[in-house]
Amino acid sequence: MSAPFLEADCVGKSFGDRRILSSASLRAVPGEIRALLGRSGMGKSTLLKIAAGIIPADTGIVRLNGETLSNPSLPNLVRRGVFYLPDHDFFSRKHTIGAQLEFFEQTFRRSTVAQAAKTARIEHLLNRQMKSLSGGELRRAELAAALARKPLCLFADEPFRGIAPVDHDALSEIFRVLASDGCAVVITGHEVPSLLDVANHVTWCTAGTTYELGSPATARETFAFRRDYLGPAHATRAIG
Amino acid sequence: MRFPLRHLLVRGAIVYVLLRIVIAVFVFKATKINSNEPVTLTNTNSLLLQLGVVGFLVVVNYVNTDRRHEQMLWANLGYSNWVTMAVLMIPAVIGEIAFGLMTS
Repeated sequence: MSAPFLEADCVGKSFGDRRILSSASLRAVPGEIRALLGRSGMGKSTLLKIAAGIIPADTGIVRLNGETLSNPSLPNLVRRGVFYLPDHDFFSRKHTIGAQLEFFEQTFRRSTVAQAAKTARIEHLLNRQMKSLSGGELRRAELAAALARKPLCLFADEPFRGIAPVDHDALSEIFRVLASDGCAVVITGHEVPSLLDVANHVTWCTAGTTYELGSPATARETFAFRRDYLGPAHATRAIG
Repeated sequence: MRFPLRHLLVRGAIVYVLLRIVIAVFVFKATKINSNEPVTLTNTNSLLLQLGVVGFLVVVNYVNTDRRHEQMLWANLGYSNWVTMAVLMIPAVIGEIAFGLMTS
């Protein structure tokens, strides 16, 4: 396994009296697609936001290429190759999709809108506003922004939310393109079949900590993961 | 200048001009009702009013940039919320200085 590009190590986070994370870790490894799974409220998004510099951790550290960052912030991490897709709409309502993709092309000059739109299959949507797109089209357009940016690390928070299964395949294909280009991809969500299908590695976030379960096949064989996350139907299934 | 900043400057200028027009109309009406004093540009300008305009725009622009989807867009382009807000404020600050010089 290559060294992680970005790493949130042993982080803890509380909101008021509620302890969300006590000692959780997340690694983004170049060329890998990592699925961060866990039940709602277990701190997946919080961990992703800490790693992306959106919210500070109470304890623990964030390292980028082995360098410990004293005060990580998303704009700073973005300049060093990170791209973060939130679990809510990402585009401005004031510009067309094409204009917003051009922002990324012109700011970073690593890819072109045409290439990104072709890979994400959104060429016909470039002159449209975000409000006129379906959920699946919007997710593809958001990933086209990542393709236009060509990041070294992509964090995508619930990218499969609210879209049809057919769009899952299109998004998975884009994640694979990014990873094959050397990008370290980390995605979260609850769409287990799609996530396990696209991921190379599974990290399970539960009870304030994380467990590196390894490949999706190994994750499926992990009894506690099946019992506590996948559900009773999977838990009673014979191992192997 | 990077491309997105130009959009922010234009947007900041549009919000500022609209706000200035609204203030001018209100002051014009108030002056007309309350006194026989002739309405001039000076009536619609004072240091207090200028500070009010800038202060109000800080709030408007903060709310504008804080709308979370846009905040994430600009952050992914490398700009913090405060930077985008400062850019949005540039037209208002320039406008108020020019307005102050014009009417002093």
